[in-house]
Amino acid sequence: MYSPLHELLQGSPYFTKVPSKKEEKWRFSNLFNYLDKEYQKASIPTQKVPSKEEANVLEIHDGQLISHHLPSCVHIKEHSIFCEIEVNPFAKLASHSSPYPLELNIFEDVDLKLYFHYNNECFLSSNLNIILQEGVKANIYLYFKGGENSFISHANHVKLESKSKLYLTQEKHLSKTAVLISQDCLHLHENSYLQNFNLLSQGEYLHHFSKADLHYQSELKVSSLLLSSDAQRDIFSCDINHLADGSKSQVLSKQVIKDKSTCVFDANTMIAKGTKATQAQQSSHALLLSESAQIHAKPHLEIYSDDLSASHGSTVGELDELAISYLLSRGISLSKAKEILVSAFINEVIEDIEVSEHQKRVFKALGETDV
Amino acid sequence: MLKIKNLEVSIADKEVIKGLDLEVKAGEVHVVMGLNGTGKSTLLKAISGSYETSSKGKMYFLDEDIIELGADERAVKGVFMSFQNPIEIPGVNTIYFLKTAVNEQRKSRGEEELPSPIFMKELQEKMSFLEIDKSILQRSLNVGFSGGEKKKSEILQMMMLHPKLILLDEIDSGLDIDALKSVAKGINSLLSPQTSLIIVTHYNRLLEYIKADFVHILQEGKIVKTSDASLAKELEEKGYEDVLSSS
Repeated sequence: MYSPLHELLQGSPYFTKVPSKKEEKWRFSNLFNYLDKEYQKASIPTQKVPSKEEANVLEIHDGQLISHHLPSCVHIKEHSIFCEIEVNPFAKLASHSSPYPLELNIFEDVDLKLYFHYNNECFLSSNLNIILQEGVKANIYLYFKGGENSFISHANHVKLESKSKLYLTQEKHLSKTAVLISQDCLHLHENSYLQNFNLLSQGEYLHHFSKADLHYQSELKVSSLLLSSDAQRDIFSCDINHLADGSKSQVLSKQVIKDKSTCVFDANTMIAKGTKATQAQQSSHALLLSESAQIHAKPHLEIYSDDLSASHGSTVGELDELAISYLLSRGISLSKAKEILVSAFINEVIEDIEVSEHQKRVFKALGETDV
Repeated sequence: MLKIKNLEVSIADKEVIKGLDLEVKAGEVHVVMGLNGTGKSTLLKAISGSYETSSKGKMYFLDEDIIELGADERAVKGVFMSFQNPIEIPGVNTIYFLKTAVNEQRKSRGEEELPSPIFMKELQEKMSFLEIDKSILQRSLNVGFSGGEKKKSEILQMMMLHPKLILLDEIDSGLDIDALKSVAKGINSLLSPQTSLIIVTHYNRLLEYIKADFVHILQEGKIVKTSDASLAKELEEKGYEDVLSSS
């Protein structure tokens, strides 16, 4: 048994100490609460034979690739590590302590589904590198499941070569007692496009970082839907660097928070000096369904250029009483009226998902959650 | 159909209706008029069970005491209120809302849900009757609707829900002549010996299309005068002060 965060104190080359409560970038993160929690190392996962129906599906258990059935345009490399941009310490932890980092190098248009299964009561790292070659379009759906009483660190490193397009949807519906620190390190070369949607719907503590470097005329859309209940804590952090002319970014986050749960939205968009015609937007919208629910929203723009268009905004509210009243007046029960209004609130961010198959899967996942 | 005795209604701790009696029999059309702020909308909200109102007194609908019932329960029993300013609900598309309302009411009454083809057929017939463009079905409820579209949407909902007691709060406000005729057509199509109507209005023009049985004047939270349809015309010609001082 060992404590994953203490490992960092014991000579990890990537940083020398765990960020203290004071040093944590955003004080509403309570990651330090897990400092002394003990976990066992994951055991070797069981093998699974791929079935014929599972074309373009990869199964990854506790970070190890178990099965795959892929077209020839996707080259798999195991044990590959790359990291194009500076990332946070936990991304490095995931990359370099993952026993089975996996790389997918994609040469032609493809649709893929990846299932990340996690064992129980373990400390686990997993790492996925995705490289899209020039002009390639890919739709990739990642599912994260399991991890009861586990501490999981996962990193996606994504490199989009010029004119490539990636539609990446990530569904994080883990065990209720799972802790997941996940990060996306995104590097967009010129004229590339990435739409990245994250659904954080179940886990004791889900912390998702997204860090992106945007080059000439590249475009990034990051959206997230955080559904928090019980005493859950969900954090969505985003650092976007506009490094060249004509780059665009859009961050949209919606949070539905109930019981005693807490959500954090922490977005920072930097527009570098000398860049021209940049566009950047950030917005966060929270719906509080109980008195003890909390949202901490910190949209932040760091602007060093004077040729750009940028905006940020944040709203927090409860269900509209007048809207509820209107629905009641039509014979719709109170519980159904609330359900309709919560669905209406979250529909905007889901309908933004450009791949209809991904949209359907997210709607299906929502049907299985207690929103 | 509806019997109200000694009704007192408050909104935000302010007493608005101060001891009102009203009886509406099945098949009757009642009009409530009065100066601004006299409690006309509050009366309709109280009958419909709006959360904004706090009511005391007796209120019987189809011989059942409904004073403690919520708005949704009253709607299921057959009360429908059309709002003066229908609220916009982004993200809830109109057709989904209509279907949900119809089926939730049916479910509450122990009836089976209406199959989609039957629902769509009835909806299309009614939209055609009211001259409503089908494009509104995919739009969010009331979002971006013109004043006329909002009122027609209210009448469409009414026609799909088949109520027994219809409450119309200034349905004619903001309507052009053609829209007014469409709305009146929709209302008249529902009137029957089993359906009653209470209309709040400031003007006589709607009553040129809908035959009123009684006109009441509300003042300071009470009905101070009741007469037949000619009262509305008299009010338009002479004004409230003259009409009330001569009675």
